[in-house]
Amino acid sequence: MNRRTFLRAANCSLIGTTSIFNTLMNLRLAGVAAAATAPAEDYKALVCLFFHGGNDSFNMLIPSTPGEYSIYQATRSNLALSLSGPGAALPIAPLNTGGRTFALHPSMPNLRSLFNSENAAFVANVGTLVQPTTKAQYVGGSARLPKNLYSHDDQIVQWQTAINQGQTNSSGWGGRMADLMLSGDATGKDFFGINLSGSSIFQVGRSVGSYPIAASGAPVLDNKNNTNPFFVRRNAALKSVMEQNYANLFDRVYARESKRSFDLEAQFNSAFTSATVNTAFPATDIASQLRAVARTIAGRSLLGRNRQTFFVLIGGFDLHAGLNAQHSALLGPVDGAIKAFWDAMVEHSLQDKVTLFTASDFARTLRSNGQGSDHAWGGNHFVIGGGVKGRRIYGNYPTALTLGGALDVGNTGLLLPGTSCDQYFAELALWFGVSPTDLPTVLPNIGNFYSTTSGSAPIGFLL
Amino acid sequence: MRTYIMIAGMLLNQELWANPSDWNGNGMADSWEMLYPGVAASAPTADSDGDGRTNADESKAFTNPFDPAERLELSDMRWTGDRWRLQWKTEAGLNYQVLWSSDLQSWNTVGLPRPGTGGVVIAEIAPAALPVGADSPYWKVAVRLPDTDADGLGDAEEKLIGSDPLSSSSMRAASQGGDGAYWRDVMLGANPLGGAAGTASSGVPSELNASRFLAQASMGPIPEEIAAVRDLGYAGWLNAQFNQPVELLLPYIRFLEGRRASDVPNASQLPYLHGADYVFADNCTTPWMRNALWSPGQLRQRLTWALSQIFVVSTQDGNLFYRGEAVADFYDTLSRGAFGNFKDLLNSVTKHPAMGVYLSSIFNRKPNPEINQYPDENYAREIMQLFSIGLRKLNPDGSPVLDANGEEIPTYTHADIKEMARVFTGFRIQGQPWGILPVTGSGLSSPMASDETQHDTNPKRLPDGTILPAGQGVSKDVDDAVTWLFNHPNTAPFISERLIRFLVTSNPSRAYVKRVSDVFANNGQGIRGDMKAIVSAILLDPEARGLDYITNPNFGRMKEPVIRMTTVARMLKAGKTQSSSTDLSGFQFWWTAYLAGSSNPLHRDMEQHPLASPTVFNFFNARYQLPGEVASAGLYSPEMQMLNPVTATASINRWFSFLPAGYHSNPSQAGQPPRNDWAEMIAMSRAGNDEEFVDKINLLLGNTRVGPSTRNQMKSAIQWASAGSFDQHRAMNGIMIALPAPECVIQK
Repeated sequence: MNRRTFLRAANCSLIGTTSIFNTLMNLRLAGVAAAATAPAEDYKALVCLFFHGGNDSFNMLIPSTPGEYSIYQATRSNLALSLSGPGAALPIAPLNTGGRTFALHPSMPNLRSLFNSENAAFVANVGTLVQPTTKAQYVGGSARLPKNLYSHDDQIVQWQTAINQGQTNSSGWGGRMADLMLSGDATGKDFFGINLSGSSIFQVGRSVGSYPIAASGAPVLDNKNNTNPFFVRRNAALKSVMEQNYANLFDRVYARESKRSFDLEAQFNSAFTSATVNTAFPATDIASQLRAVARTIAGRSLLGRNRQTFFVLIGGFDLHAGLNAQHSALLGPVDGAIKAFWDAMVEHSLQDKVTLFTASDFARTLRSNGQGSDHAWGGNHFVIGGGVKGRRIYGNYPTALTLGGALDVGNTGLLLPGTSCDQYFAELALWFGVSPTDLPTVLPNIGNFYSTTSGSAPIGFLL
Repeated sequence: MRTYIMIAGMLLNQELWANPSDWNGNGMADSWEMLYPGVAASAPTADSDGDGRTNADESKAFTNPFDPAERLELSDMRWTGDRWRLQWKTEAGLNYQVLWSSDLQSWNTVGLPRPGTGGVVIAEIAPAALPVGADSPYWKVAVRLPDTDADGLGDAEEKLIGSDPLSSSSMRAASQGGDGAYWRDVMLGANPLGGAAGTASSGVPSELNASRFLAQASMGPIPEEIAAVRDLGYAGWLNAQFNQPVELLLPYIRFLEGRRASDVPNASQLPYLHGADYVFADNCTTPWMRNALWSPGQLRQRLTWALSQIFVVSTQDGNLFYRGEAVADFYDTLSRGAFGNFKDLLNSVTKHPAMGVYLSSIFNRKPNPEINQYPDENYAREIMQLFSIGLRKLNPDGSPVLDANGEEIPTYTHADIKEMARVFTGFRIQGQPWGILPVTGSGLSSPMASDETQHDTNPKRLPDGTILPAGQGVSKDVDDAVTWLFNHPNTAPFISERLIRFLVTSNPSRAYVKRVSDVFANNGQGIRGDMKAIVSAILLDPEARGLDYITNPNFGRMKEPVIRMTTVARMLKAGKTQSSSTDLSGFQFWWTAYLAGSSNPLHRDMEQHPLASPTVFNFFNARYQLPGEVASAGLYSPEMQMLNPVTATASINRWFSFLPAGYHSNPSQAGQPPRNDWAEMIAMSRAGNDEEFVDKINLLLGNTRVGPSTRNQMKSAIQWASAGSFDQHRAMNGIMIALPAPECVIQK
């Protein structure tokens, strides 16, 4: 039994409910802090890498088996990647596809290395669904469908909330994991969900909020620690203004958010600056976000959380035009950033405790509009981590990307997902430590896709 | 024992106690009227709930005029064997005096006045308290309105108003009449005609109400504009604004294009200003800021700013970033159309090359099935979802239409989008062949031209089955589709509600939305989409002008960071003398500049930046709900999508550096930012009345709504530095506390 399997076993046998789990873990953390020779630390982090705008992921992972490729090429027309010559897609040979071969976007050589070293895997044709749905049901209107498919803001929220029945705002599935795991925690509920992208809802729970930071850490009030009496008084006055109880709702919540900003900054920054990350990160925005994640994880002992979620975001994927050139300009920086992040986790021997997964509004039509592609539905995603059973493609990558084919519900190469977001998220949540019985709290629709008492994995890429 | 109950209302020692304020002169207490909408219009002698107490008397007792169970009365009295025991319900902030009489003619007090608690009080009176022989007294209780701090407002009134009953100057300098004068200013101008709240009369709005109006209708109140509103009245000011000339961005961009390195005061700025043969679009924010701050057409500035957040294009787009002319002219198109007809706005936005580039309708081609190419769906989707009808069918009041199962009804299907996409095919840049997108030139500021050979000429089916016939050219197809969208029943409530949210409040009542939406549908002269009428309806609505902002704790909106910035910059006359419209010697203002050694650029700290939204969904979602108290209440807080622990502190840091140094986009930026002019503030400081100094800041930043606690902090902050030698610091300190305070951040 290797260590990873041991931890998995521990998760299943020791832990009946998450609140007990957390009590145990907090005791354990205290012990870790006190003793130099502590037992193996129980820590896990999930990192969501969000491709904002709808990633054209059927150009991130393409079929290269000759017959499949020629269909792909005909369907995608002027958007198709080539398999040879300059700018050729990068071939990969998955272990579980029965000899079918694939290739990655040419700007992602590092992802290919991680894939080949079995530390990365793909999950194919994932999308928002309410229930298992066939094309006939879609066309006939006999299946419940997510509200406002193909609309950016609705689908962005649904990917983050795993609630797609039309609620305008609720809580994110990462936030509901935090609610569960911190339900018995009296020490405070901060620093569970760290967000590099402002107000995204993924980590906002019913009782636990997310903690947004900048890539450089939490902003510090200028002259916060200046002992000049002017600054001492000014800072006290600002604090007082934010601590009053205001009758107007917006006054009140604004003051509360400001107070929270003041209150949490010092603790966060002490952790953020306490540990060293030597791995060099590229000078891109997405890399600076993932570097901040790495620094936060490295300083985790000062934040008192043994489970954390992170949210990073790269925008610009809504490539109705200029797809071929601009897709490279987005996936290239992603590739550099995930490589550095992986290296940083290896540097800290944390690669088995951290799983990065991708999300996006939706994928894009296979059909070209001449300049790019339009909004679609199911798409391909990757996961990276020492816990991942890598070099595999999970889910069902369609064997023929034919326009009007078996999964195309728009005759535009708009693919009905073969795997639901709930299945994808359930695998991640179970690995993270959510118990099968709590899974429906995190993912309300999971019962439509997966029996939580089955004992088997929802997909199998982590468990 | 004989007993007798008499209503309250008899005031003893009347000269000691304030009468409730009655600025609308209807014989009832103003502050009490706020609690009971509709009562102000009733006669004081009426008894609306039939409980035997006139409305005037209920107003004296601060009881509910519409609930017969609520009235001042002795609810229980008895002889307990050794004393009398009296019981009645009280209101906080009032005093109650027990009186007795043996003949119902002369009344005598017994015991001391009792403060009301909001609950039931019991008085026990021993026989010894009464003269010998008074063994069968009649009892009554009189209610009195104490004014503990002698500011002309009774304690009960101050509790409703939010001022401090123990301080005569908690909202306003004592020398300016203190809290009593504050309340007068709340009342005067709180109806759409400028008259007092609760009346239908016209009048001169107070400075407070004029300032409040300008917080909704301009880029920030200033004394001159407050005077103009008071002079012209609300409607008169709007009409004057409608006639102000349009001020544009494009002339400045064109001016820059004619410059060379030797013309630029600081040559190191040239790489930022210019590419090899074009002007970066971020330069648009210089004329934007010049106009926003000092254009006399303030209403147009505010409305165009709102429209630019509905019809979004962005310099964050790789193509637009290099095309300053296109972005500038797009904004100018909104400015020109702001007081026209919504249909023309939608049409000109649709045909503008900046929009064509941003949402890729330019060079969009008819289907070519042989190579699997079909029209781009981008613009087709967003013109419906964001610019006109929205995703779900709406009633005229903005609420969703529900089907038999209680489900919302989509306005269109994906098949409808595919059809609509075929409308927007065949656009090109005027004066250029198909496929050519220049970086400069008049084609970027002219409506897109058509290439009919690229246009889908087959019939197109609109969502309700309307057919655009075969063979129409680009222009006719687009005009017909825009007209169809404009006339769709959703467009009136959808756009009306969005504009209300930008100008007045995040959670308008359904009735307010309907009133505006009805004007959108018909301006009274049979015209649909009349923007002047729509804007007037929004700003002159009773919900915008009345006391809802006090009585409804959910009223208001978070000022966008950009509005917070223009508000303080206008207060401090920033760049007023450096703002000629087309020269380089005026101030320059960029939001995104990264220069050597820079920290975060401004737009990162603020999450907002004119003409640079991250996506077509604007900086914030119109239906965003801040998690926690706002979301739990089912309310919306769109602008609060920009509020989080990062921006909360980072924006405060920005104010600290803006006040002394001007509105620079980053600390190491060369060039001239708009700088504050402190002369007036220094004069205020030297005038020696710090309370009036606070009032001055409060009027312009907080519309005189800063509460007692923040007001005290501001006053202290001013006094951290000494007058005469550190006057600018005194002003900055007070403003530093006010700017991030909730009363100045939340527009109400």
